[in-house]
Amino acid sequence: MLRSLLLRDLALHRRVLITAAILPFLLLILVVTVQGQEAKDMATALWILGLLVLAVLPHSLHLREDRLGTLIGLLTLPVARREVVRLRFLEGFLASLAFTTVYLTAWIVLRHPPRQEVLELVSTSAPLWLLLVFMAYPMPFVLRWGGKGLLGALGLLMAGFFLYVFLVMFGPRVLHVTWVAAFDGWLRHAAFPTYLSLGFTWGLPLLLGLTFYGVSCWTLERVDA
Amino acid sequence: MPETLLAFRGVTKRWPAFQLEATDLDLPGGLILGLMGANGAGKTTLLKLLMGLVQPDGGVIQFKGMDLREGGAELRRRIAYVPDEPRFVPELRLRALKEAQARFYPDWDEARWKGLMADFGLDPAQKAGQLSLGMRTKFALSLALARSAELLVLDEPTTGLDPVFRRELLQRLSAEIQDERRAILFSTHITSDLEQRVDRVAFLRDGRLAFCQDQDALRDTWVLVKGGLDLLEPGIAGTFRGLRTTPFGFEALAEDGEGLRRRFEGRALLERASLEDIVVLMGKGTAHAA
Repeated sequence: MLRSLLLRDLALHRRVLITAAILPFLLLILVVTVQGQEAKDMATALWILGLLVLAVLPHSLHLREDRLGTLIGLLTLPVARREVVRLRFLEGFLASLAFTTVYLTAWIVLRHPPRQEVLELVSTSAPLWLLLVFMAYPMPFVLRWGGKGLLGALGLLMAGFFLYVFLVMFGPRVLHVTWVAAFDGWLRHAAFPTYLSLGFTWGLPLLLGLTFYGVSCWTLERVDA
Repeated sequence: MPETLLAFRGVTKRWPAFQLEATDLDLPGGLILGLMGANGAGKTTLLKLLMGLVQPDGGVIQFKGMDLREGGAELRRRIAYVPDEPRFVPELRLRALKEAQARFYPDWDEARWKGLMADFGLDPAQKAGQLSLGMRTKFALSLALARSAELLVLDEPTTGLDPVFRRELLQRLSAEIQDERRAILFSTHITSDLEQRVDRVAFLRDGRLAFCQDQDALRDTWVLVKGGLDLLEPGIAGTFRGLRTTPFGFEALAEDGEGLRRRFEGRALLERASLEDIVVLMGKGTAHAA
């Protein structure tokens, strides 16, 4: 069934998906124009940017169905609603994986970066965190409240970010050195993991992602269309 | 006696502004059940509950004795649904839309779909964005009829269709249920659609099922009473299921024809109520027209 759902989305949202597929190539053009030491930073930044766009792709597809009024057609197909949630997660995951593969392969072929740099790039869990924060976490909000839900979820995220910054700047010292510092260190490990922290930085987003998947299923099974 | 295909048992749904009261409804195979009611009476809600688009707060919906909540996805393969305003991705051609849908149904009959498209005057190469509401309904009907669904659920399918096609469609629907294993449930505002082809009529009023009767029983049960205002004695309104008064007289719907005949002794006109009379008067309750 999941295959049929994927093929349905490929047919119905062809334009959106083609636009998304062009993205890595556009970003690559930008990357190859930059030379020297900045090229690596630029490549990383554009990779993250591309992943951000693709992490919200499942939301775009769902909101498009909602806007076009085809969501009723989707929800009356002989598939469980849980399968629809699975489809959305799979779309985000596959798009990010495909983008990362194309982008990093091209980067390695074009730039011949040092082996250590390549290892760092392929072993980082940053894409997983991005998918968690921008795809998995807002998913229940999108399924329940549509576009307003996405804005609300991102608004909450921003509020959390500002609270973090506020705590770092003005919070009690004890908070700063313990919780905030730990959080800060944890984020750094997420981007550049050591072998010890590998399990933690990969395991935690996977666990949280599964939790948000479960909440998304629970939500969609109770939503009235 | 054909097997009961669909059964609603005490189904309720509550929203802040509307509630569907405990509803019991049965639809045996080989029948067309017409669902009537004013806008906002709960027709679409009832059909959406059936399709799992809306979650019930109470009660059970059974399809061939199986709870739709438990076997929803699998059972939906055996139920075809046409919403009141079918919507499709506008930039896609009808052929592509059909392909996206057909793969979900192993019993898809491609030759039948092509035949239906030709009968309905639709070109598979057309884009959905070019279709009017009536044409979109026709396309949605072609998708629903090209499957061997045991239950066809149609939400106001005749809205937006021209009278000629409407009649053809109703004939086609009648032909669909010659096989007693299949049934059709459809909602409509157009009473003439029901009078022509429907076997059983259910009437919803303010979220309550006012009645569900076979056409023949309906004709025998309801009478239309017409008379002067002087006949409206105190307390008589209670015997009517719907009453409309004008400066010149009244028009009422009642069940007890014999009792009223004796009571009025020829001073009022009693005649068999048409479906339209029933719907209009029952929908209004007690109303006064200027």
